[in-house]
Amino acid sequence: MRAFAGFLAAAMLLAGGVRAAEAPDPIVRALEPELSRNLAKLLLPDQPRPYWFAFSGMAMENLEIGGRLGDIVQDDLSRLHYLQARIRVGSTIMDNTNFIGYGDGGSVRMTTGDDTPGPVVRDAWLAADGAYKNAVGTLAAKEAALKRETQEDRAPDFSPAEPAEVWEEPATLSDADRGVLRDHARALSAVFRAFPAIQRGDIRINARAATFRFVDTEGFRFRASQRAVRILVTANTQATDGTPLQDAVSVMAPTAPALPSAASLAGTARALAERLSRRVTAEGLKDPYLGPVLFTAPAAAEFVRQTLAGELAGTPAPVAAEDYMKASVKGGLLVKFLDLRVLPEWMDVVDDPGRTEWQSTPLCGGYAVDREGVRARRVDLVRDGRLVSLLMSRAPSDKFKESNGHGRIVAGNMARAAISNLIMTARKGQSEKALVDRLLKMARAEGLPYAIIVRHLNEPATGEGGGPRRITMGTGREDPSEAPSRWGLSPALDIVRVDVRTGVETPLRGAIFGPVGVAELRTIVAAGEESAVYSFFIPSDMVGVYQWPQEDTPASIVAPSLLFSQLEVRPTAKKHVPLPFLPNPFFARGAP
Amino acid sequence: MKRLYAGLAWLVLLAAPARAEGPGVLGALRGEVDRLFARFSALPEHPVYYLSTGVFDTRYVRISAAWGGVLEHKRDADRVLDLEMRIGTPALDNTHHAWGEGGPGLPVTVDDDAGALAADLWIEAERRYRDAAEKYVKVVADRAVKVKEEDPSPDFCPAPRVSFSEAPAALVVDEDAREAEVRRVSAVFRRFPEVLESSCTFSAQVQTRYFVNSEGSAIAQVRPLHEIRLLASSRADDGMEFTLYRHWVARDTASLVGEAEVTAEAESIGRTLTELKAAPLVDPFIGPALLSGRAAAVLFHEVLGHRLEGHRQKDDNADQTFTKKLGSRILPEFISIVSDPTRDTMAGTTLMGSYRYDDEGVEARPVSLVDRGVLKSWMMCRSPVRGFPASNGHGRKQAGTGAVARQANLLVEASRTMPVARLRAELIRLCKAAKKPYGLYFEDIEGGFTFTGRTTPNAFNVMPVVVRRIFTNGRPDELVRGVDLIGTPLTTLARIVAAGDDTGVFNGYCGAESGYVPVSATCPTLLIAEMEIQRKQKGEERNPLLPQPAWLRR
Repeated sequence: MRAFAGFLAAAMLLAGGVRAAEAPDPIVRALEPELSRNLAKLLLPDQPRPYWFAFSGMAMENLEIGGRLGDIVQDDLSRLHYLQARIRVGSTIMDNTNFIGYGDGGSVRMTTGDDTPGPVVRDAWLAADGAYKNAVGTLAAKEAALKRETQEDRAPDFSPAEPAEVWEEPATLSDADRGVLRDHARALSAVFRAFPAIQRGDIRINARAATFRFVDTEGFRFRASQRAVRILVTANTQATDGTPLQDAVSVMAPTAPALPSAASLAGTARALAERLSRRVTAEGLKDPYLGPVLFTAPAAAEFVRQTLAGELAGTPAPVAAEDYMKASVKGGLLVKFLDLRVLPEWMDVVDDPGRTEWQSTPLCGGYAVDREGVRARRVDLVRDGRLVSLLMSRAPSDKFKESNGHGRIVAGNMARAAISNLIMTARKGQSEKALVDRLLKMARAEGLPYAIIVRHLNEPATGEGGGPRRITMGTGREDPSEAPSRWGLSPALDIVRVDVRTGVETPLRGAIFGPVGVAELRTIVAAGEESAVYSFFIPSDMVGVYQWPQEDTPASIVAPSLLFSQLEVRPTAKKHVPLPFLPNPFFARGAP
Repeated sequence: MKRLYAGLAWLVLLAAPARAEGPGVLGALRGEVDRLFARFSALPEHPVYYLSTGVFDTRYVRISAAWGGVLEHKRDADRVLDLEMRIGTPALDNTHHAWGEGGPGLPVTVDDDAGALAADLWIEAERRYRDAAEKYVKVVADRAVKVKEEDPSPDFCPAPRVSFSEAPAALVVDEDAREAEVRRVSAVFRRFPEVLESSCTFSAQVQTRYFVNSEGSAIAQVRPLHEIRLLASSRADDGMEFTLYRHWVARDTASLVGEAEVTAEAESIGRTLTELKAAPLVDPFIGPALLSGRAAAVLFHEVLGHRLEGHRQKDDNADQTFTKKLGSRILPEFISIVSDPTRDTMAGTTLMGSYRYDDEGVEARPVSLVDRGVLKSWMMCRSPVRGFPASNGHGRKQAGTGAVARQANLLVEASRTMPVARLRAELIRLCKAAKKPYGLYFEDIEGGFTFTGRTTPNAFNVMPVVVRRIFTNGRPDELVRGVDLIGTPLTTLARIVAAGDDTGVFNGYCGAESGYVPVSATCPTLLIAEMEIQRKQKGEERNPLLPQPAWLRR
C-alpha cells in the first residue's frame, strides 16, 4: 500500500502542478518555463529522472555596523542574490534527501539582483544541472548506506502538502534605517566611556532583509520577506585577581523602528556595563551548590533557548554515509519523550508563527509560509506538561506524517523544522516576590545558607553559533538518538546568592551549571506571572546543518520566571591572566 | 607553498576610514606607541626592545556583473590595526624563524578619534605582549636544545628613522557610469554559448598605510589602485576546465583602460574559450618552447623570485637553492633582473608592486638581483642574512602578520634581444635539431605555485591556459589544451637561449608567509631550449545536459 501510494504521488507530481493566475513576481514568472523544461528533459541515461523540482531565490541584504567607545569601527552593507535548485529523484518513499555524506541534491549559485530575469534564468539552468547530477549520485549513496544496516520501517522522505500562494513585498533595508543604526552604534558604545573598569566594550548590529522566492513543480510558489535587526552588546575585562570576565546581551526586533527607544537601549548597555563592573570585585563562587534556583523571566527565556528550543523539531535524523557523521546531527532530541510529561502539568508550550507581539514587545519569528511553501501553523507542543507534538517540515517521521509549516531551515535539499515564536506559559503564575519567598523557604528547608537567583545567561558562544550543546557521557560514540538527554548551559553572567535569613543579595561570578535535562525541567515547582521575550538568530548548527549562504533565521522565545527545586551550580575552573601593565589610555587622558 | 593569483577577485579588505587625516592618525599612534614602549621596555622580565604599529585604511568601490546583470555593487571603508612587538635582543628575539606569524588585524575606528584608537592599540598590545613573551621563552629553549643554525645572523637589523606623510586621496568614482559599463561588457559573453561562467569586475581602492615605530619613524603613504578584471571559463566534454582572464590596473580611473578595449578583449576571450573547448589534448612533452613575456614573468616569479627572498637564505627548512651561489652565474649572461618597488610603470602598464616605503618603514629602492646572469643580491627585509646586514626595502605583509622579504616589481631584462618573429624561427630550428615535430608556445597563463621547502620536491608549476603547437613543417599553429609547465629551478633557468624585444607584464596578488601582497613581474618573450610539460589536472564534471535557456540564444 505504501509503495502504491508513493508511486501515485510521484505520478501526480510528474504531471506538474496546476497553477492558476500568472505569478505577480517577474523572477518567478521567468523561472516557471525553465522549471518545466528541466522537469521534462533533464535526464542522464539509465538514471532516475526528477520527480520534484524547485527553484528558490534568496535576495539578502545584510548590514553590519560595529561601534566602540562612541565610534564606528565597521559599516558594511552587502546586497547579494542566490539562486538554488532543489531536486528529488527516486520517489516520495525513498529519494535523495535527508542524507549526509555525499551531497544533497541542492545547488546554490550567486546570481544577479536586477529586475531583468535573464541572468537569473541562466543561473537556474546551471543550478538545475548541478542539482540533478548531485541528486542522482546522492540517491545511490543513500541506498548503499541503508543496505549496511537492517532497516526498520522507514518513514517516507516527502509528505504531501497543500500549496499556499503568498506574495509579500520584497524586503529591503533603507538608508534611514542605516542612519538610525549608526546612531545606535555610536550612542551605545559611548556608554562604555563612563566605565573605566571595562577593558573593551563592543556594539555589533546586524540588520537583515531577505526576500525568498520559490516555485516548484507541484504548484507551490511564493515570495516572502523576512526582516530582523539585532544589537549585540559585548564587553570584556578582568577581575581583580586577573580572571577574564565577559558579558553579552542582545536586543532584537523585526525592524529598526521596532527596536526599543534609544534611551531604553542605552539603559540595557549601561546595565551590562554596571553588571560587569560589579563582577570585577564580586566574589567568586567557591563551593558547588545543589538546591533550588530561580531563573527570572529574561534568564528563563535564555534557558529555554539553550535547551528546549533546539530540540522540538520532529524532522527525522538524516541517513549518514558514515557512522561518525551521525554525531553532527542535532535537534529532535525530545522525540523520544513524546506523550511523556516533560514539564509541570500546569505549563504549556506552543509555537505560533502568526503572532507578532507579546504584550507590546515585538516578536521576530513570525512568517506566513515556510521555505517549502507550506502555510505556517500554530502548533501545540506541550499541553498540561505533556509533549504532544513536534515541529515538522515536509520530511515526515513515523509519528508525524505531515508538515505543520515549520520547514524553516534549508540546507542543500533538506528543509528542517525549527521554532518560530516559541511561547511557554504557566497557569498559576506568581509575582517575583512570591517566587523569591518560596525560593528562600525551599532553601531553608534543605538547611542551605543561601539560594541562587539567575538573571542573565551568557549568549551561546557570545551570540554566534552554538546550538543546544549536548553533553555526551561515556565514550562519546553514542548514537545521538540514544545519547543522554542533557544540555550544557552557558555560564551565568548575572547571578546572585541570596541569604536565606536576611534576603540580602550578593553578586557572584565564575558560576556554571551542571548538565540540565528533561529530569531537571520536571523539577520546576513555580513560574512567574510576567514573561520576557528573547529573540535571536537560529544558527544553522542549532539544527546540525551547514548552510550556504548562511541565513540566520530569526526566532523568539517567550518564557516566565522559572523556579527549579533542584539544580547544580558549580564554580568555573580557575584561570588567571596577568592584569594589564598600563591603564586604558582612553581614561588616562580624561576623555569624556 | 606559495601561490600567485593573477588578479583574480581576491581583494584584501583591510582597514580604512572614510576620511583619514594623516597627522591625526599618526599623532594618535605616536602618542600611544611612546607610552606603551616606555612601559614595556622597562619591564624587569622580558622587556620589549622594539614596537611598531600600523593602520591599514582602505576605501573601495567594487562593482561586478555577469551576463548583463549586476552581481554586486559595494562601497565600503574600513580600518585594521597592525602591531609588531619584539622581545629579547636584535640578535635573538621572539620572531626568530617565525616568519609571517600573526593573525588578522583588529578592526578599529573609522572616525578620527585619537582616544578610541589609542584604547584599541593598548588592549591589543597587552594581548600581543603575552603572546610575544611566551614565544620568546620557547625560542630561547629551542636554541638550547637544537643544533646550531647554519646562518647565525641576527633576527633584526637597524634602519634609518623616517618621517613621511602624503595627503590622503579621495576615492572619486562615477559609480552609475561604471556599473553601466560593467553590465555592458559582461553581456558580451552571452554571444558565446560555450562559455559557462563569466564576470566583469571594476574596483577602485585608495589605501592609506600609517606606520609608527618606537624608533621614531612615522609614515603615511597613499596607494590608489583601480582595476578591471574579466574572467570567463569553459569546460571541455572530458571535464577539463579552463579559465581565461584579463586584468588592467591604473592609479586613477581616468587612466584605466577604455570600454572599447575591454569589450574587444571579452570577445577575444569568448572566441578563445570556444576554440579551447574543441582543442586536442597534448601529451607530456619535453622540448623547445617559447614563453610569452607574461608567461615568462610568472615563471621567473615562481622559479627564481621566491628563492631570492632574503629570509629564506637562513631558513634551514628552505631549499636554499641559490644561497651558496652569490657571485655565480645562474642565468645566461644576457639576462639581468632588478627588483624595483619604486617603478610605477613598465611598457605603459601600471605595476601593482610599487610603493615608496615598505611595511617595516624602510625606504624602497631598486635592487640588482642578477646582473648579466650573475647572482648579486637578495630582496631583504629587516631580518638580515649572512653578507646582507641591512634591509633594502622589501619587508612586506598583510595587516596582522609579521613582515618578511617579498617580491614587489620583478623586472627581467635582456641585453641581447631579437624580434619575436625571429624567436619563432629559432624555435623551429631547435625543434628540427632535436627531431621534434613541434615546439610549444605558451601564450597565456592563469598563475602558478612553487615549493621552497626541503620536504617536497623543489619544483614549480606554472599553469598555462593558452598554448599552441608550432610545427616544423609549416602547418598552421594549433591550439592545444591540458598543459602544465613543470620543472626544477636550476635546470629550467639554464636552458634560456634567447629573448625577444618586447615586454610582457604580469600583475597579481602573491600569497606567502606574510599574507597576500600585490606584485608584478615583467619579462620579454623567452626561447627555452628544453621545457617539460605534464598533463593538467582534470575535473570530472560533465557539461550541462540541456542547452542553455532560449533567452540567452536571442
